[in-house]
Amino acid sequence: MAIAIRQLTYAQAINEALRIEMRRDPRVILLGEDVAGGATVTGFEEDDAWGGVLGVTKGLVNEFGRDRILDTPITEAGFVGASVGAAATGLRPVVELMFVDFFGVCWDMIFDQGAKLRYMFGGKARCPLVIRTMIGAGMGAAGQHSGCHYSVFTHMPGIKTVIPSTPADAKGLLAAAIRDDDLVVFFENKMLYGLSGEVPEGEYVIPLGKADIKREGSDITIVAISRMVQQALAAADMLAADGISVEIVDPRTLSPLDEETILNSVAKTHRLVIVDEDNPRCSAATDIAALAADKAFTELDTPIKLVTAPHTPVPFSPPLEQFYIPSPERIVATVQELMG
Amino acid sequence: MATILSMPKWGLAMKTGLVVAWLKRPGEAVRQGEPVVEIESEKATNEVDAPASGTLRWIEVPEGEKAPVGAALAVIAAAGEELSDEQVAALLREDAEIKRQRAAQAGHAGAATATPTGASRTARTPAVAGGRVSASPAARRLAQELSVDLAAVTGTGPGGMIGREDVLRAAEEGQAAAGESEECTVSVNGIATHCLLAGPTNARHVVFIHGLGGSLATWALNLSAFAGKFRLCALDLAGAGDSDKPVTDYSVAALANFLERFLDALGPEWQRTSLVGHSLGGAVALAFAGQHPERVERLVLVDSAGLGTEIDGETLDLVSSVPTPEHIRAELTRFFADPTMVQQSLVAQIQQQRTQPGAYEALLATKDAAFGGGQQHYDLRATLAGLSQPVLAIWGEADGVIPVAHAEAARQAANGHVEILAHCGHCPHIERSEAFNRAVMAFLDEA
Repeated sequence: MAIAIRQLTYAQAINEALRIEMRRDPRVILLGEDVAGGATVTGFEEDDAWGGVLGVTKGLVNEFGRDRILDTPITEAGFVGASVGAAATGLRPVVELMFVDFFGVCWDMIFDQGAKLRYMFGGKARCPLVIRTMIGAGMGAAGQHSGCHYSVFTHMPGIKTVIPSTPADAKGLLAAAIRDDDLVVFFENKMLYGLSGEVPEGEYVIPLGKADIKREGSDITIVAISRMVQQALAAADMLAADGISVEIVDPRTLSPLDEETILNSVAKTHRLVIVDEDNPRCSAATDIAALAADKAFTELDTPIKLVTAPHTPVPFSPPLEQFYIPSPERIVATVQELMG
Repeated sequence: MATILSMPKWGLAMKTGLVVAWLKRPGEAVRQGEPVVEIESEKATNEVDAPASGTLRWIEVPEGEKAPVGAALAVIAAAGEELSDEQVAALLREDAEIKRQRAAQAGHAGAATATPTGASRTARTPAVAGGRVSASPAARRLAQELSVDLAAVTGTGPGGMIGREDVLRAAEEGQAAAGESEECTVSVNGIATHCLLAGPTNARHVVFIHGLGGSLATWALNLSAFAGKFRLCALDLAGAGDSDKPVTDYSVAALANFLERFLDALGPEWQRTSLVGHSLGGAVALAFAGQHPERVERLVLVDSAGLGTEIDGETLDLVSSVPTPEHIRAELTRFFADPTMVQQSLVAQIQQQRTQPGAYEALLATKDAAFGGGQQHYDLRATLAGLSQPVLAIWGEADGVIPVAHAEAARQAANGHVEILAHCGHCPHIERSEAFNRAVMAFLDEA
């Protein structure tokens, strides 16, 4: 396997995965607001199309044309519903829900239609649909464009939820999501788009449901979700200076959840902190805490601690927004509290 | 975090130590491992090293005062740590409480309250709140696996919760404690007899018998060494140490009978045992072996009485004189080749024993029954010659109380051995304790 390792940003890695999968499989199409460059604008095919609000799908329309890269009206219920139908009838659409906060508009299409098709038709119908959506605070985009909400999707049976934290994971997991025969929601943290990292060239697929140990350690396990992996890595560096060895587990998908990797790490370190930018009630964090309490109870040497956003929408005030996002300092303080 | 420096425990019989000198003053910086205080036990004076680096913040036991094993001696503040007097007092209270709980846990009245892993212990909070022990699930499981009682464990986790590390440490300390001594009082025909038991119960059994005017404390430098390999019992004979001192027959024959009844009372596992007797205790052991050869596996006679007629009359006069510190010091000086072996604390300990009600009378009765006019009344050489089990006579070459020549009597036994230790007086188990322990353990351990 001669895979050269070079650097790509998280956004470039997603773009590359889309391009490779679209070349590979003609059934793959893209839909969404401005994913090509504007539905009524002509001439973008020749020029450098905009490619989504933050340019993630930039350039794809030049290669694949408007038949496969579809700019949609601002009608989430309409184009997400159309994507569910297209998936059920033979295509493999990748639809972009610009900000996850808009899920309420198309929620019926997602959880009551797409997510239930296979179950309700005894496996005879499938919904091989990927919904790409942006999450995360930190851009000053206020309460309606900054949420995470992957916990809500994870709660619903029939939906796979993917939360990549690095460029390489973004590429490998998106390829797997597109090749998957079920409805997958792919959560892209907008604060990670500029993050660079090594990304394998060519076809690269990371199976869904496989957690990744982002850092090995022996004193404490931190399960971190999406961008929080990066925050946890920064915290681990600070804690290493105190002689505290942190193991960071990145679940990479919340549904399915790689319970084994999490539980094995807890059995090794006997301490668990979960870092999650989502709101804390009925969340991925509480779910993982419950998993450890249920299946690793006698391995736990300290209380399970959660470092999460507060139970509020994302504030617009920049200082409050920074306070809202779990910081490396908060992670360090929580770990130190447990390590005594 | 501040660290408490505690009274160390040197040897199984050590109960208290005397603070001879503080080598550091309050406010002075100390480094971990640096000597901080000089402590004198019954048999030895040693320096105690700082268990942690920092500043000597508080001296709890001043020079010239005694403190029980395990008691807090001083508080060492960590570098840069400011402790108010109230905080120091709180730390000491906490430390005392932890030790009290641990002692209660040990469950033996008067048992050693030492911190078994050494002289120091970092101050910590007991993990008991509202009657329920606060322990992590992992700690609870581990405690069950290792049979550790969580109520006796000190928690160092969040909020003082007991964690796995705490249980592991308690388990280690418990193992160390298993090698510790157990003091008990056995009733022998109504005579409350004080003794000390130690060592693995499945090992060979050995009984240590002290001499005239002594007590089981005489074996302070020996018992820990033996306890690693043997199940041992050291007793205070009737009329001595902390045993009852009734007005009764203290002859060697009577003491041998007493020994028989004591071993019966101690339990069936003591039906057959090896005996180590010092001086008059040697005569008692030998007399017992003569009467009950089937009960004695091996016999060790340490500068023993009963193997000849001579004995130093001056020593006997001093033994029977009024127990003032001067008399006791003069007496003890005759027991050692090196007179500096006589420590102030040893003198104080013996004086304390001899001034107990009935002690002086019992001592005189014992002495008069065995010796008189510079002579020994008992000649047990024929008994010795008749023994078939292995016998070791071990003697200090410079014994000024009972001549070293008496050791030769052991050669008359069918399986007798003689070991003479140079530069050593009447108490080789003290003066040459390491050589003594080596020789006697090798002898007792022979297949």
